[in-house]
Amino acid sequence: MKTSDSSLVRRLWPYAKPVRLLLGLAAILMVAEELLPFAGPHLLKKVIDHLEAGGPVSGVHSMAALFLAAVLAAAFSGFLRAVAIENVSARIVHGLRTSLWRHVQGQGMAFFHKRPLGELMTRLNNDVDSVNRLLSEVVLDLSGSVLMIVFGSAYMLASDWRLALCCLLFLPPMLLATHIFRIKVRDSNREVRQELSILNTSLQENLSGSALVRIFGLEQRRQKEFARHNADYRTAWFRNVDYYSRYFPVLNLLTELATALLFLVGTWLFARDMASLGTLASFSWTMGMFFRPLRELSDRITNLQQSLTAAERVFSVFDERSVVPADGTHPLPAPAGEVEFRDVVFGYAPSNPVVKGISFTIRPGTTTALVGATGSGKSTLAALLARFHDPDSGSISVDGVDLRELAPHDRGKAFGIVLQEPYLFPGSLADNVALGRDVPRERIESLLREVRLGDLLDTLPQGMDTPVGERGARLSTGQRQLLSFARALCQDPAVLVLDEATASIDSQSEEALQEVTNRLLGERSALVIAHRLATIRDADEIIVLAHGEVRERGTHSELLEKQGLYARLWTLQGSRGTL
Amino acid sequence: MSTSGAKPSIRRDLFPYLFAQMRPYRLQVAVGILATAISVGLDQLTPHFVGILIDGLRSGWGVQESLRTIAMMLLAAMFAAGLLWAQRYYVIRGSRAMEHDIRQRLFERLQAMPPAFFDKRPTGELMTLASSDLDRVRDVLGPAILHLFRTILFIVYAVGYLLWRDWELALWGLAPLVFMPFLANRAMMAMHAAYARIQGHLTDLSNFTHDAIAGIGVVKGYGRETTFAQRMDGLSDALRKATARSAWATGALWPAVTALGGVGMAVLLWRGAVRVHDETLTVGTLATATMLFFRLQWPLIGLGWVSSMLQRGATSLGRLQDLEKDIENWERSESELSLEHLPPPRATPPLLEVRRLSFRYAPDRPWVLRDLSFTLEPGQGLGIAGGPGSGKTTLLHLVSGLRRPPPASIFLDGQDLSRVPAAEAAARFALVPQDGFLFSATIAENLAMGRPDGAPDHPSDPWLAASCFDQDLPQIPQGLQAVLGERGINLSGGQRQRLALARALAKEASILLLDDTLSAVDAQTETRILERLAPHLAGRSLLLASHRYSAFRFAARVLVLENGQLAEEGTHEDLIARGGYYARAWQLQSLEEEIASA
Repeated sequence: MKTSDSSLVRRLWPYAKPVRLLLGLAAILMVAEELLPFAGPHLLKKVIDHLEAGGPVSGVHSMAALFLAAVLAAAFSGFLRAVAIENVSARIVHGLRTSLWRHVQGQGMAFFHKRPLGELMTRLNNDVDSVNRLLSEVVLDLSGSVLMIVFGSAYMLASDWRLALCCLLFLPPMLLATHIFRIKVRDSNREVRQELSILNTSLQENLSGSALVRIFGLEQRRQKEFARHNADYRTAWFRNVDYYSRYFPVLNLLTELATALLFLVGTWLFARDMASLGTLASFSWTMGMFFRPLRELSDRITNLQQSLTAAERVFSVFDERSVVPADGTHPLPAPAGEVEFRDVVFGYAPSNPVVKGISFTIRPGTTTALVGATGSGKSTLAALLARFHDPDSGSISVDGVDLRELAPHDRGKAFGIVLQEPYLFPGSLADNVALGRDVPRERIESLLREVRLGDLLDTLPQGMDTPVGERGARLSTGQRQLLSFARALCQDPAVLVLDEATASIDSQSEEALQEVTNRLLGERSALVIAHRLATIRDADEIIVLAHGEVRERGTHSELLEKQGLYARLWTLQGSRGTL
Repeated sequence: MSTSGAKPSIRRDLFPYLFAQMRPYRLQVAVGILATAISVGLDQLTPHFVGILIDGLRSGWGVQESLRTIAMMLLAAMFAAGLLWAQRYYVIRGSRAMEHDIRQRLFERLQAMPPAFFDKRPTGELMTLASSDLDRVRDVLGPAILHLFRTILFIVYAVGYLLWRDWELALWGLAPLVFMPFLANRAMMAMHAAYARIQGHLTDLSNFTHDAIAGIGVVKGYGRETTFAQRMDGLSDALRKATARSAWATGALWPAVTALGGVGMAVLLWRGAVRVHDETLTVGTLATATMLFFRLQWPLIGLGWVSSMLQRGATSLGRLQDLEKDIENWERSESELSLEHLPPPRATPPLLEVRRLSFRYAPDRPWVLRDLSFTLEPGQGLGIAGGPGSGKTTLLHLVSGLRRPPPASIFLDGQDLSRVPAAEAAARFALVPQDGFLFSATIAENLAMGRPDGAPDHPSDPWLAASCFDQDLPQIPQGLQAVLGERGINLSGGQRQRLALARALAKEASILLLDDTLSAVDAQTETRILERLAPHLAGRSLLLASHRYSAFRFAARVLVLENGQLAEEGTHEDLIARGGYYARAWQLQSLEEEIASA
């Protein structure tokens, strides 16, 4: 725990370094903020002793003014400290967040496949926020409590060590009670969380499965079960409440015992002229200040531990590196579109290659169709082209430049990728075509019309500024695919990579899609993962893949002559229906 | 963000509602109130005795008098501690019990709602209502009311005591404090407003990361990393600026609140000391007054906290009451329908007729089904083909009583289903939804849910065999007793669907409805299941919706839906020969499968 805490500080330091002066200032202000309140009891003692000694009333005025000044100074340093610390933590977290994002974004696709979206979201948002809270609240609260206890002890010892001991004597039992309480509450909180998760699962299931409950007439049975979980959750809370109900009275009692002991000893000292009335009165005030932070100590330590765990989770993301190395710098401003796969081997796990030594070349302006079963490696070839992964051995090059050496911007421009289930961002149609590129609106519109979305555009009240909804939910499957065509064409790519849709598409989009596909494939180099016979038949080269290897290759007519797998598929299809 | 509104006011119906919840626990609440009233009073005694002691010492008390005062102080403290326990124990515990009751009642009423109710109230929203909104209402029922009561008593006792001891001194010190609850409340409000602003930026960031990660393939594929990193910089910096800006407001408020208390204290100390000097006040009274005053600050600051808790509680309660109103409306509209009972089931399945059925989810939404008519003869197997969004699922839900069909559109043996109690209609059908929804229970328990009697020991082998789940069972360590779900084992999509099918078979309903039930099952298994299913279908009707058309080889007739309309109709072979939409889709699918099996 200790070592990881110190390494955490070390890892946060680079982000804190630019604001170290402000951080130092905040620390100084905080000391002032916790120290100045002791002016209250100190001046009370002075005033009473002054009056007991029969001093003039002018002394009272000046001491009251001093107290007022201390109060205002404490408040003012508290204010400045709050502003300073918020600025510091906001800067640190901003630095942390943006560099975490660059790190995550730079990972290979394997990184994203390994983790559910929800988990990454939690790291990037909730856990980073926890780091923010750690800096701006948790550490601050805790050090405030600790400073108050330290200053309180010091002040009391300095003013009368015998009376101070009466108070400090109660510190160990209080800390012990707090420790026991903290452990009990921690366990109890865990139990509460467990019961809550069971209860929420049950609730969620019954709500989302409400149709099923109705179909099977399960109302009574589910109700009984929910009642049980609900009661278990209540019982877990009852235990938690019990701990809290006992802890605070115990603390109060210990505080009162301390007060009693203080006055017992104080009376004895006073009788022997060893302590003044002012000292006694000021001690009863100081004790209130001294014991108060203890009440919050337990919760604050728990908060600290939670935030530290979250911070560790954030840094554990930094520690992970997936295999895609840094991008190259080789420029390729105007590619001709010759793509070469040479002995490409790749596997998601090294022992289990999905692509086993595949070589082929797409000449500029020609279409290569990949045909194969799910798992034959055809989608992986497209993913390698997008550089979601790098080949384990062999190479992929465009116009003779290895993909790994290509500048990312030029790589992005060379390829236009249309996936089977194209991802659309929740912005507008235009946003999804432009993807943050600087594209004139007229061009976006002409692109949309080019992919036959013109009719759609005309029916939409906001035209191309219409939001597409979450993942393009407002568009049909066919329209989504057509939109992703427009997106791919936007940069006028030399090579089009197309994973044809297999899902049933309504007749109208289907026809549009066929026409657009045929038209676009004629204009540039293309790698098509083909599902439609029309696409396959017209390809310049057809590669039949099986288990990561090339089974057959050639043009449509060559393959038919070969009387192999492709020919068999073709006759099967032909006998089934028209083309 | 209703909490950040300009003038959040406590709803007038908040307190009647709260009192109604407390009713079953009135004894505990009464004990809690009594304990609070006494313990807050006892709390004031320590400063009182300290003052007495100091004055006593000045006037030359002996050991005995001092000891007696200290002993009394201790005694009062011990009582106060015991009573503090009692008030927390009874009041906070009571609030947890009330939370339990509200949740239980809400659940029972929600469960009686038809699926259509959940269109407008999605699960996520209801979960929030049943958790965080309910938590806030509970906070009002427990901590907020307790603290409010304590604070009011504390102020009454402390101020009363100070006024009684020396009203002039009390007024001097208390004057600045009058502003304290107001200022504390302002502090709370400003903080809520700042949090709401910051929350907006956090939501932007969260949405950005969600979309960018979900679309990371696009980002990478198009080499847009720089743009997205810059967007992140912009959003993150906006959050940083908002946080830093709001620090000026939030940072100022707490020091202002404590400064106000400090000013009161300074005035008290000054006035008190002058009076001691003038010998119109004793040193003991001054000590008592400063101690009381110091103790008074925290409850006063706490008032701001309480009022913000009350405000949030009232907002949440409003949301809960809106939900209850919605539920009531449904309950009323259901009870207003004049419903007729179905005759008891016969040995042969009923004749199901759909006549010119058109349906949409709301008047402002597009039609999902349009002018659809067909007949399912007793014992017949009918296929429904169509792509996503073609209306297959909606049709099955209308038929099975999950949704109330429009009047005179669906008939069971000539009886209009729109006028039959939904549960009664549902009892005649066994619907297997596409997602293969299973509950977090054992496999046996999930199967037993299909049985009308719910008996888990009913032999389930035939159902498991028919759905081919028997082939999975040996691979599951605890077999039928294996627990499913988060805390148990996870079945694959295909396994879930097969088990859901077995569960539906166990219901032995006269009409079986399969809603793309075998979508996650591979083609060979699908064929085997459909073959094994055949003997179970004797004397039963079947409606089979599927996106995989090979399943329709087993159907006597297939309806093809396109955009909710009947596009084609005929046997599997007829439709292929016709060369329309069905034939095209079939071709794509079989090419896939041929390649897969090559």
